[in-house]
Amino acid sequence: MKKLSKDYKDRQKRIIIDRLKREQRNKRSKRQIIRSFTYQNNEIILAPKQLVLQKPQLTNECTAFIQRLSKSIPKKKTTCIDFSNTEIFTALAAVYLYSEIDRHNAAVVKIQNISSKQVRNTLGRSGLLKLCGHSDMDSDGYPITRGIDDDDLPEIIQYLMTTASLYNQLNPKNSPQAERLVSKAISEAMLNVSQHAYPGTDKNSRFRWIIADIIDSNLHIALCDRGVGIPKTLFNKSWFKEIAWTGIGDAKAIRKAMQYTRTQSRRHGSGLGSKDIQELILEGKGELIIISGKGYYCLKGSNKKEKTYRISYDIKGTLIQWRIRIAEKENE
Amino acid sequence: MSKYTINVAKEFTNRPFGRYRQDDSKRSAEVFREDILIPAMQKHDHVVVDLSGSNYYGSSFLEEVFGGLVRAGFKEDALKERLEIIHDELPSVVTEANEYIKVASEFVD
Repeated sequence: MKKLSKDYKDRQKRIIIDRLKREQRNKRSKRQIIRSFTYQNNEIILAPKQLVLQKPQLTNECTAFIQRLSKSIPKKKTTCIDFSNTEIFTALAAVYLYSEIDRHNAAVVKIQNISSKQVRNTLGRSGLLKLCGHSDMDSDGYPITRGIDDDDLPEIIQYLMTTASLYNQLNPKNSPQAERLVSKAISEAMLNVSQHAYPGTDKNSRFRWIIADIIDSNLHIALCDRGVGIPKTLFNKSWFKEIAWTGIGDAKAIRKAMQYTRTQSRRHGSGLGSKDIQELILEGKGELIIISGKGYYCLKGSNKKEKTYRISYDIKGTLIQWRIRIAEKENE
Repeated sequence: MSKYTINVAKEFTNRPFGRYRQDDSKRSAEVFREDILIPAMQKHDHVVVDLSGSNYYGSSFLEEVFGGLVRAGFKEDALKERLEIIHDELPSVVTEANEYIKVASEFVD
């Protein structure tokens, strides 16, 4: 038998070591992002420790979790979401999760092992428990609703105006002005969904999901659609092509469009919807977050500072959240 | 001189939505402008558009109605004389609507 040369043996050793390192790296990265278990065509997916989309450093984990769900729900007999590890679950993440379950098949999704009170609260108030067939919780929030156009806008506005102290935040004597400010922001965002998010689809399929709630003296309104995303629609617009190059990236594209509509919306009335969307937090000193495609954009109302981040996983749609600090309730 | 008042909330909708008839809704700006406002402007010397009774006027709707009047051929000077926009609770809406007429005129001329 021919003896193998030392060089050949060293080479083979290096190949095996590299392969093992690669496999460990892949296992480590998967372990960091998502954990799931499959048995007999059922799948249990562990929700992340923090289901938060507002913080860019947590967005990737959250979107990876949703993507895992989107692959599981259509294929598995049951998809069970395990919240044993989850400590924080925000309204924005809730509306995104709700949209994912709702647009597939909620009947095959179950929720188990809720260990955190805050998580249970969010699951109940948002309507997620009810969506997945679990017992309903009494809630004084406005649970997530799916709709088309602005069909539930009056109910949302009524909830916001009667339960929040929004008028105190904006102007004690100017409730109609506050009502208009809120209604036009939400209405214009809904109009954007109707007009741009789902090109080529039937009008009755252009769904969006919305939640409104008051958490820790902050009013949170979050709107979600599962359309093509803002960056894709922007690059089809001639006015946008004049101000941005095609390789600009999703986050910077969103920022560019927001800046443009704040300053240039007079021309043929374009971009007025975006102006209304921003005006709510600029007037109310809040925060606006837009996550679309792989772009994360945040605008602070108090100082008009903008931040953008690139996220790793495509959101496949658009999420918009307004957060506005409201007056504290007076003790009775 | 004939004067005609249109109360948008009572005669059209208290929840206007969107710009265009085809894409948006029957409550869109184009529907209001083409089916109600322009016929009234053609028939009467002075038209009052009363926006009272609703606080749901988005900027897109207002711009398409009033800026759209200019794009439909109405001159700014003529509109100043023949068109009056009012809202009993929100003067800012009136200011905004008039601004859209002014801006649309700049781009049409």
